[in-house]
Amino acid sequence: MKKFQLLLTAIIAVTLMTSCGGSGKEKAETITGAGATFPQPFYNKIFKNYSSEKGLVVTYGGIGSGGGIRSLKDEIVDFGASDAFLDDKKLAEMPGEVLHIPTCLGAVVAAYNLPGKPELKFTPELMEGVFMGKITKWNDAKITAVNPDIELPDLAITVVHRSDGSGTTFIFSDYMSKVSADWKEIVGTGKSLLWPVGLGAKGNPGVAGTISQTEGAIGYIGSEYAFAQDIPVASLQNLAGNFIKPSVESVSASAKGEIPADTRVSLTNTDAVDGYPISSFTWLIIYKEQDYKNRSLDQAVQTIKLIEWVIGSDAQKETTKVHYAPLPEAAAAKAKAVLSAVTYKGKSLK
Amino acid sequence: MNTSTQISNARLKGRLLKDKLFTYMLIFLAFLSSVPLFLILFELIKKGYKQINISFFYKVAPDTMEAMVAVTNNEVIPGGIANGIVGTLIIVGMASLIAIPLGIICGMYLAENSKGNFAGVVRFIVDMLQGVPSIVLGVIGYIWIVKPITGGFSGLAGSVALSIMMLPSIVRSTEETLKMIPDTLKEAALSLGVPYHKTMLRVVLPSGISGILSGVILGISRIAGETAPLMLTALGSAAISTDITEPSSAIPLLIWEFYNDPNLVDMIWSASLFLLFLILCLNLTAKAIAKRWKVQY
Repeated sequence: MKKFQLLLTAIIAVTLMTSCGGSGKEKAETITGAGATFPQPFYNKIFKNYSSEKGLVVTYGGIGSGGGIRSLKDEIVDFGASDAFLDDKKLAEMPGEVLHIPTCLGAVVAAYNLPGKPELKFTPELMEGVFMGKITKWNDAKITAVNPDIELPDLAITVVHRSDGSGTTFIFSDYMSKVSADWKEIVGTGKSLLWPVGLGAKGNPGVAGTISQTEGAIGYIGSEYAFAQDIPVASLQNLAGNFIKPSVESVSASAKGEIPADTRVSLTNTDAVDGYPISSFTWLIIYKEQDYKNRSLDQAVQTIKLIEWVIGSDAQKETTKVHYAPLPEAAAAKAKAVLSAVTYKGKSLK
Repeated sequence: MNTSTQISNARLKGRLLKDKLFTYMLIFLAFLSSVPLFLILFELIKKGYKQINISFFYKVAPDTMEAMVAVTNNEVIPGGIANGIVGTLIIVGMASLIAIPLGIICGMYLAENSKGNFAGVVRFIVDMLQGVPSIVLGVIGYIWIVKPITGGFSGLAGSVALSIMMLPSIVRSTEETLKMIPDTLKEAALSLGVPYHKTMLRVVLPSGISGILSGVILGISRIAGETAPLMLTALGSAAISTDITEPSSAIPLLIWEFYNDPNLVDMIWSASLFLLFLILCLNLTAKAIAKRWKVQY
């Protein structure tokens, strides 16, 4: 019994000691963000760098774009993260003015599993046909017409899509709605959709796994998953008529057009000549007025410093190493301009 | 030897055969139910042993790039799950601090007043609590702690959500254990003039300590692997965090993170193996304690 009492006292003492560290938050110790899983590998990497360089812990939780927006709305994070920008209706629902800061670009690719790993070309019409179930065989005349050099097998096409709500689905369906009237009418744009055909799988890893295990499968995944697992991906014909392979350069090129001042822009079906057509920015979202929920000035300053660093060259050069594309200069400049509008108690932080 | 004894002999043989058959079938089926555990252990050890080394226990989770370089070079992924281990220990420890006293007191009350009306209501409510899905408790932690109290994701919120989850198992195991303690023990103490509260704390509770403790440890191992409530409350952290008002990592959260990153797949198995090992150890400890502190009447 004595031993047991001693043990209990020790446990209580240790826990009380560790819990006392939390008082007095004048100085920022931790910056917390939550949201999109799509850029999470990139964020995890650069935030770890930042923590070891500046001694400030940055915590990022991949709880999905929707979760990121809700966390910011509930004012419980320093920044949210989302793959889809907030539309005007959603912006109006937020308790304060919200700013979007693009951090990098990512691509959604059509990945497939065919014997011999041929390099396929796809036109928007083929994409519509395959993903809507109009084309059911790999050796369909429509596919062979675009890929005359490749001998395609007499194999059924298995479409794989996400079963959970996701920013990846949003980007993909945003593109499909732009290139296909049928798609827009029947399936539409959104984070989770009613699919005409195919198998559902959970998360990008789930879709990637299902594709690699199913001969004849095709599905859409974030490019980093296809590259990391070495799954073949299709070249896509863009608006200018060129077949573009997804790569750091072609994804970055898709953002070469005009970007609005608030950076809320959809890049899918870009008119850039060498741009990959299913590309998208991913954004950090913050409040313009940083004085909310008892935040200290230091907390606000540190948050802005962090985001400034993310769009700066040190962090941007890490993007390509983890298969994302860096912000083009024009976009980075726009992002800086957005960030300079941030205030604390009405005063500019600049 | 007449015909009737021959018949009864034959019947007896038939019965003995049936008896044997039935016994072997029971043994076989009992064995069958333990097969999944061994299959799981085998799978986890086969896929997870590679990553288990010393740095696995004191380094924080690796990032994508470190993992990618290691995977392409066919090396062991550097880093470990120290942030998860520390987070799990703190969150589960805090949850235990909240749930153990409450659960034991409630269980004592139920055992002492097993027939009362109010006790019936309490017992019913505790049973209902047992059925609340873990994700719902996560939402509750979010609404009760994350938004109004810590103003952000925190380990504390995770502890509160998990403490509610472990409460029912402690209440019920305390009640069942104390009910088995003979009344004569209590009567002996009371008749010597020991006050009621001292009788309860010094005589009844210690007599049942082995049963209560194994209930507590089962409750702890039940919550140690919970992910859903923690995603909504503790969020996860790349650094070792000892401040309970800040986001904190935990082993199940790390497993979920590894799952989301194609380069970190190998770490899933090792972290799972470690978590399973931790929980098996807790269960064995419970068994050992129950054996050692068992009171004979």
